Amino acid sequence: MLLGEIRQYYLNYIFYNAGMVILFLGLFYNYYYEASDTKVLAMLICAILWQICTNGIQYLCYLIQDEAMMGTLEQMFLTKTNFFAILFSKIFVNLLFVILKGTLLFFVCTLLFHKGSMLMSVGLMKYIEIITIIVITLFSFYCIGGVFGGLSLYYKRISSILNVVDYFLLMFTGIIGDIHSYNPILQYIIRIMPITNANILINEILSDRVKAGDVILFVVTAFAFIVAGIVVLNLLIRKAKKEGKLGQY
Amino acid sequence: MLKIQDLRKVYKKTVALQGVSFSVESKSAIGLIGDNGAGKTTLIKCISGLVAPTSGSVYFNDVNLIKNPKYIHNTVGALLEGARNLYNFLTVDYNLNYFGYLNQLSSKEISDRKAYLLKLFDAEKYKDQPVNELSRGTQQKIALMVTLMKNPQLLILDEPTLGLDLIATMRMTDLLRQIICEEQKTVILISHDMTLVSSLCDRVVYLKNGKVDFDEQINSIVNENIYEVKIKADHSMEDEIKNFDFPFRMEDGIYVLEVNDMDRMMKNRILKENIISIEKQVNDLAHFIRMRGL
Repeated sequence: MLLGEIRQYYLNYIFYNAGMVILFLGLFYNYYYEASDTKVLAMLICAILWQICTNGIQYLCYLIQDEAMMGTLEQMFLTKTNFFAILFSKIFVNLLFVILKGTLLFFVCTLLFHKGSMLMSVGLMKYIEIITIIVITLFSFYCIGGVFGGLSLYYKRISSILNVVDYFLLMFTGIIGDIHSYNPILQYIIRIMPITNANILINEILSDRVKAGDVILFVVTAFAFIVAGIVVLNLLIRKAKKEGKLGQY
Repeated sequence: MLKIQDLRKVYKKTVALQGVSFSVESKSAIGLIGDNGAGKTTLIKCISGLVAPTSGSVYFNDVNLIKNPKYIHNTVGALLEGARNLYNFLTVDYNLNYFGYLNQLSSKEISDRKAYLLKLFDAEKYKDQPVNELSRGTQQKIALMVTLMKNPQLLILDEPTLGLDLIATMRMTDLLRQIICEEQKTVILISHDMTLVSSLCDRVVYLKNGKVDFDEQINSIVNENIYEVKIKADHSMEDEIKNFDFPFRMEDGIYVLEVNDMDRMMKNRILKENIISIEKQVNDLAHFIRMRGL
């Protein structure tokens, strides 16, 4: 399926990956002169996490829209394989590719920009912890993307909603600024998002100041996002079936 | 057997189905016909679980399909309008493989089923071509092959010849006839092509405004002797004509009746004396529908 898509939409695929390359190169280039390796590493990882999470949140939305346009969405509901099983298998493949590409690009850029010392300053266990946090966060965002996938099933066009979400995630989850400097009420609100907790945890791991409470909060919020995404998508699918909107696009 | 009982579907302010009831015997084919907006597509989507009905029930092999959606996945295949159940950027072979796996067929089952369908549809030569490079008629064939991959017991076809040219329509008709005969499926065919319906189906169900308007065996329709009787009469005779309950129309001051019982017609002396001409008609499904004023 993926090879077929690449062959058909090769131009889009090339530029999609080019976007990822430019992001990595741009981040490394801009932080090249930053003195503190740990700080650079944390900023790079968090920025990359934002980018892949925004892609993740959009994934199901665009997937469902594409399938509806092709007419294959209704056929998916007629097959013996559960619809959610189909979605999860697609998410798994996409997540795997994103993680592999991201990891490869990260290491290539590290070498390219002579930031080897930055890598060496962090132990293997910390890398494993960070990658685990990234995978869980990304998966939770794929799942919460089910909400937007369901909205696209019902309302059809929702790209502007996704833009709002992208900007919110960029501005208020600790990517650009320190969340501890935000208004306390805002801090409480953004702590319900796994990406905020992931950013905090990644910084804590790199500075050896991990708090158990932050780990628990991260796990709980990630789990909540996964469940919320599945539940809301299920409800919106039922609503779309009730109103005969499955075959519309 | 498929049994539809008092099926209703209301979309916000629109009543799409108003208590539709009919049944389809196993291994037979019915034509589901009607005007645009009559509720045909809503009906088949309710049967196939793509639209949730407001009330009513659908039984297939004594299983309630509305309460058992998994049974639909195992037994119902639907070719929906427009050959839009294919991944156009994938090859024919890949489409068949993909939907075979989604229908949980084993590798051997996929291979055997694919070989059978490719031979039946004479599509071996297109196997490795992307679907978007094929003609409209061939795409429709491939769409039907994908629907048949899981060998459904109940096959729903929504306008299978829509947009096809004459030759492609004839080929598709032959293929469908072969599938219906060889694979012994229960078939619901939606089409505006009365020739297609007449040649493939045993029965026809006409939907009008979300209700079953008539349900007839096609044999009884096309074998009926119909005569076109022209009568010169003034408006005072209209009541006499209406009493017969034959479909009629006015043409240039002349009443034109479609009569299927000449004996009864001739018993009315007044009308008999005003007959201008009697002509035997070639009766087909399209003519039948036209004359019922549907």
